[in-house]
Amino acid sequence: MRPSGGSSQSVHWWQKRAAEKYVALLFIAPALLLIALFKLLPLVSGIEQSFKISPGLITPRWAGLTNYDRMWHDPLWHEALRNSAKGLVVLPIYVTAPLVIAFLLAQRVPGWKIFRATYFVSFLLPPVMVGYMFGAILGQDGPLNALLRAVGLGAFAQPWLGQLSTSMWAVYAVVFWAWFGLGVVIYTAGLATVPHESFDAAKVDGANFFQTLRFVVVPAMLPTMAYWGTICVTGMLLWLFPFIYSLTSGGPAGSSSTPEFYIYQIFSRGDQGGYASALGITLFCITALLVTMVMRLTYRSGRSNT
Amino acid sequence: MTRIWSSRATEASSSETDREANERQARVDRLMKRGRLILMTGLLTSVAIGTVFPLLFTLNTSLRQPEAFLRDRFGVAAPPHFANFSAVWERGGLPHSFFVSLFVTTAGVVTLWIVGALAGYAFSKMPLPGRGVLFALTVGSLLIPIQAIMYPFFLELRDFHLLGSYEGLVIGLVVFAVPLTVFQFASYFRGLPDALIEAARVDGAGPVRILSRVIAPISWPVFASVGVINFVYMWNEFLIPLLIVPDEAHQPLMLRLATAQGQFGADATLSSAIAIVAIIPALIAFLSAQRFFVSGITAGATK
Repeated sequence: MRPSGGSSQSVHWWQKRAAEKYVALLFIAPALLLIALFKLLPLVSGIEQSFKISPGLITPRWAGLTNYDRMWHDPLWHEALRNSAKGLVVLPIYVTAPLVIAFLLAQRVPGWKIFRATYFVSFLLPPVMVGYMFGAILGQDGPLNALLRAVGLGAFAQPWLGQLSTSMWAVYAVVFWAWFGLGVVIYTAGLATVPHESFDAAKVDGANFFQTLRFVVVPAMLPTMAYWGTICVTGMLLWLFPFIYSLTSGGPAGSSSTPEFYIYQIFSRGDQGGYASALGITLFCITALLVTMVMRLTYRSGRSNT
Repeated sequence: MTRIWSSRATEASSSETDREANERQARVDRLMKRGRLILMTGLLTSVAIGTVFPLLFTLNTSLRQPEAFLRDRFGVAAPPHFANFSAVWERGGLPHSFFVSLFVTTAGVVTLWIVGALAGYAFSKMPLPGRGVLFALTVGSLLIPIQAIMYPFFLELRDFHLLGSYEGLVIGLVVFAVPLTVFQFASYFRGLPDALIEAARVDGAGPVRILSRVIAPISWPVFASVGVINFVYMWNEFLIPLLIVPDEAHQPLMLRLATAQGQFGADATLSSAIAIVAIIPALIAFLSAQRFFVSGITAGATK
């Protein structure tokens, strides 16, 4: 393959360098094509669809803001948004609990690697399987209620997934179980970058466990907490579908439905694609706005630290 | 407690009472250390039990005799009743679903390797006009989730006659993994020395040859990381197959799992058996490349 002549080699090489631009474009073509065809095009077409309705089997026709107006007055959509907002209530637990456990693991308790691997298993399980599994565990006669009855707390036994007041919280509890191990692993990686001397220094100063956690670990882990918090918020908006599908199907009466799940419910009715698109575009705007905001904040705080 | 040590160091003479005090202090320290260790291990163990119990409960259910299970749901599966597994394997439509999942997941990983490595290399090591904008577009498309474009995405696959087909499933799964995969490849390749590429170029190698013969062989860690992360993602994904596969004939395993809930109804022993089968491949994939999985998902945590 080596070109023979000296001068021809340099011309050859130079031509190749210029041609490389086109080769590079060819290299990115498959990725860009997939994204353009199956993400950008549907997004544009979704915006268009969101202004149309197609009741029955009639061809879709323009309907102006009808779909958005319907969204504005749809109590089930409001319920779904409220259920997402409930995620903010549990977010502090999602963010701090894995940090505490990761800090405990960082003390290098004997067998800490086995503990970490055990916690992580739950994240590797298919979410839809986790949902069915907990459907049995949280059921009326499931192990949780049986345990409560056995220890004399039978009064607290209840259909966790089947009543308005607890269904959404039960979903968040199951999701917490499923993601907890990922949080521990991410915090463990973050803690590994903190020099161990700062923990030792705190110990020498006589700080107890919680003081060390509050005044040494949390300040050092703020960027990781922001990173993990962003993952949790994104996940609460976009990754709950299989959990809800298998745990409650959004019920009872929409009490455990989130926007993504409600969009699927509307979509699967078959003749309300326009409305499903309007809801989808709205969800897109919410997540895009939220993620951009968080990125801005993280970026700014990161810069001021350096 | 540790202040004792410094006071002992400053006092040159160590009297009898001092030594006694020190010994007592050391004993207390040891006890407290052991107490703390027991406390920490206890806490970690109880969390581990909380993590493992649901899984053990499901495993136990899958190994119980159906009649015995209906009488008492909390009995222990002793001796284990493996017939549930052969039952779901024979009449649950499981082998075909298992094959569909395995085929689609493997094809998806290979596709992502090719698409991601090509784009990642072009973005990181080649002269590319409009690099910044194109890269931002590729990675930024992460912001377009399936839920936002469910209906038009479905229509498009229908118009391309991709609904219910293997190609449709692979494309559907791959598309939503492309942004992060390209990002992963690009960041890895960016860390490789340019001299390597220059040397190959002087030897007369073109970009395709450089990528396949020089870059790819030394970049196996990123291939392993992309491979295992996306194997687990595609194996476990539920919503995308739910949109793409309309009939029960070619259901991947996750959809099969959902169908089985209705099919077997109260007989949780059988649906539990399917659930146990469904989790194994992703667990094996993870265990075989644990390090690369963890390094891939924690990459953003340490920057």
